[in-house]
Amino acid sequence: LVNITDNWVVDLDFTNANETFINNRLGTRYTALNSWGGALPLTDAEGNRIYVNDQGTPVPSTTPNALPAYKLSLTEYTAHGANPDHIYRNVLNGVTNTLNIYTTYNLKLKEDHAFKFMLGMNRVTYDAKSNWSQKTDLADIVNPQFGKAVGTMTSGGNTFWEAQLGYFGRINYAFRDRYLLEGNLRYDGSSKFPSRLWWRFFPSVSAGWRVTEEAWMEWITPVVSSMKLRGSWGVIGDQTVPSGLYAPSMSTSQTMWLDASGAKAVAVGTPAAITRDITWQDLENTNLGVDLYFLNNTLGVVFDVYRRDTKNMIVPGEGVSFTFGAGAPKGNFGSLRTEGWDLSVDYNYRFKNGLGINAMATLSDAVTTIMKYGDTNSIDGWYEGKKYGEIWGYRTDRLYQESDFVRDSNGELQKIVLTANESQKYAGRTVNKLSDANGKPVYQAFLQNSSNFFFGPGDVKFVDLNGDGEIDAGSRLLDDHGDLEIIGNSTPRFEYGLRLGADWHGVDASVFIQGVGSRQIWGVGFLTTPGFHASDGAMPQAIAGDFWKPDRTDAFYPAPYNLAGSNTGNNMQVQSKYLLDMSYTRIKNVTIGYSFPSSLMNKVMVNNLRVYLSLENFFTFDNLRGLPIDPEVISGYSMFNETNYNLGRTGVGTPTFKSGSVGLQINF
Amino acid sequence: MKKNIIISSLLLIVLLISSCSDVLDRPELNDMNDDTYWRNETDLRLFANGFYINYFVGYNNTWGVAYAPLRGYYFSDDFSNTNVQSNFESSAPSSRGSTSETPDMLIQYAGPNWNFAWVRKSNLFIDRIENVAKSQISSEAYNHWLGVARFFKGFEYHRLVRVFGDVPYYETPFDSIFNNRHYNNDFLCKFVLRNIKFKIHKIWEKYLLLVPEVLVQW
Repeated sequence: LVNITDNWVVDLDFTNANETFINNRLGTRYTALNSWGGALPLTDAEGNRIYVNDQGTPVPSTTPNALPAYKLSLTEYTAHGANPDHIYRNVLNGVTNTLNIYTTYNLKLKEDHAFKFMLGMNRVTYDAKSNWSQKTDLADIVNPQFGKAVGTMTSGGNTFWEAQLGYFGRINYAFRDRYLLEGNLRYDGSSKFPSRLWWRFFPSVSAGWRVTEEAWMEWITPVVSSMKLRGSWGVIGDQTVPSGLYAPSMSTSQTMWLDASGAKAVAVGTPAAITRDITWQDLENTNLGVDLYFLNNTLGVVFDVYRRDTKNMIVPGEGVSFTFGAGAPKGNFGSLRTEGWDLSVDYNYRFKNGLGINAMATLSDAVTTIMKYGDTNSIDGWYEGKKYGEIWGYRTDRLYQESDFVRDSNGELQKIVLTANESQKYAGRTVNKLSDANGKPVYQAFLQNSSNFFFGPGDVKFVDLNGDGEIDAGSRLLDDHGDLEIIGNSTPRFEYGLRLGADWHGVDASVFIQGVGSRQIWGVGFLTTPGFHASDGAMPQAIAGDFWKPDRTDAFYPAPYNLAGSNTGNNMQVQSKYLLDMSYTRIKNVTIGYSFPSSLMNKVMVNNLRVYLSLENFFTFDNLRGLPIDPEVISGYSMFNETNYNLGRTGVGTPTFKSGSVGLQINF
Repeated sequence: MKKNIIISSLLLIVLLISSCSDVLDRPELNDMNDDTYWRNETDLRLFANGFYINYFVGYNNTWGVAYAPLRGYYFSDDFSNTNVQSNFESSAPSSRGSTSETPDMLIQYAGPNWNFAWVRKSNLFIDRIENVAKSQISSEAYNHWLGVARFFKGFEYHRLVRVFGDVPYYETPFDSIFNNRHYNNDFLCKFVLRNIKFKIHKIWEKYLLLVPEVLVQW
């Protein structure tokens, strides 16, 4: 930091950061009971089969209803084979050098006009090298070390380097603290792109007007103590993409084939399909806001409306057919827009009797829309105008009942093969005959995804939205989506929070409530999908106690059918009725505390003594009909794997903890 | 004031030095690059090695079983199965497409998915041999590797035709993405035969017997 004159300052700072990352993975061989299958017959010491009754007590084999007993087998995990036991270590050493230089010049003209000029540059380089090695077959499974392993050795490594260089200029202008203006211009370069596309200009401007500073607004200050209007527009560049997206790189791998000398042959892979022109992604931000404070700053309202455009987003190109032979190359083809608003209100007041209250409420909402992403019009693709997170599905009518079907003389459901008269599009398929008491029935042959599934009593009846006499998905295109409609959105909407607090003569209390106004997901897994898999072994009571059976025709869930590990198909087509309503209100925190008077405490040499009781996440109000999942859950997300934890099943990650604590705070 | 001038000029120098945009010249380093590859026969051989896992299979690579007789390839007249044979599909699938180079097969059809990754790979191989490597290798080696590449292309089309009957034929790797040129079955079969014959004629005599001699399953 150098002060050249009183109002001219030069700042220079240089940071060198060295990081080391070591990942040790010890895959020790171990033997454990196998609860997945392969049970063994249970025998006694003489080798005779043991039989048990339905209580699990051993009984003679001649007892009625006696069952042969089994025991779990022992399995050696990470044994020799495809994935043997091993020791693995990955080490990365990275160096980041950051250089920032900028100079500021303050200029004040005639007391009214304050200028601030700024000019600077920053330069960031990152260099890293990593290498990993693995050796299989541990000779000592208690203390796995490289020297104590005897099997195949494999290793690899990478070198990373990247750099960013940027120059910027800024001018601030303030007129009597009343009108505030700022202009920025950046010129940024990044090593992530081909050299002709390194450099880009990114401008931004902002303005503020403190209305209550105006002389003609003075009359309002008893009520409105401060009012400021803000607006800004700017573009910044985003280069947080991997290096070499534009390079047709060919990866090298070892094959399981031997060359003439008996060594494993190495293969160099097909060059990646790429676009040569990869450049900056532009984040364009437009913001309008107002800050209002009333009644001597006791009540504050802050409101912001914003629009964020991500332009030239790097996404795979569309319209590349499978016959191209590779995934669609990525390029700066996409664009999306987020529009949203934030509102926050806070209030602080202290009464004359010593009671203080404070409250803070926030509410925000944002919607992201795909503006450009190739030319697809598939409802499953990123078509233009798609709202991020939207869910297409059928609208559920009700569950079929006995009266909807026709039984033959044997009392069986009558099966017919559809003719063109009954279903133009799906003639030839076998269905259970529907009663035509209420007009021409609409058959759901298209939704019978399993060869032994036919819609019958207790199964789901869907609404023929487009009225064509068929229930189907059309071509899943925007102009032909059959009976599908947008039934929900997995993006949290209308997120709100409320913090209330009060204190009075050493007693303090606060509550924090948080919630989401609207969010839907289509669940996957045994916790949310009725009939997810016959071998799951457990299902929530909310499903087990409320599925359709002949003596429970008003059930919520349909007649059971094993979906064999799928969350869609047959009864469980993505549909409005079984879409999970993930909106919730949660009392995140309740705290009650008492601070002992300091006059008392000073005598025992303590500055401050407070006891408190705090409850975290104790009360949650959701709309999940008793399904045992957390309403904040994201399928497949956990602290261990952020995209596909437990095969993406809903609600099986680590839930939000409930915790209660009692504490004592002492300051000496 | 004099001190300030010295300092500011020093800063200016630092600014100028650090502003050299050479620092941005940091291309990706880890992998081979198509633009600088294809230098010699070794490069061609290493690229050709990538085909073996798909065409001369035992356990592909690692533990895959596609096309491995009796393990992945068992739905044929040559073998019978004690269990009920798996059914053919009763309705048209929504997609058969794939772009993966992991060996994979449709068991009931004993052939590939609608996957042109291997066609692209062999087309690219032919293109690079013709346009890049040709000048760097002997004409004998050129003929050999062109033969290998065309053999693999013929092999893949043979598989595709067996499953799908009519498939678009691509002569070159990239220019025809949006230009589906359909040829009839008869043409494709002749093409397949021609490519395989070319290979037999052109490959060096010591490799004439069969390509698997070059590499053996590990």
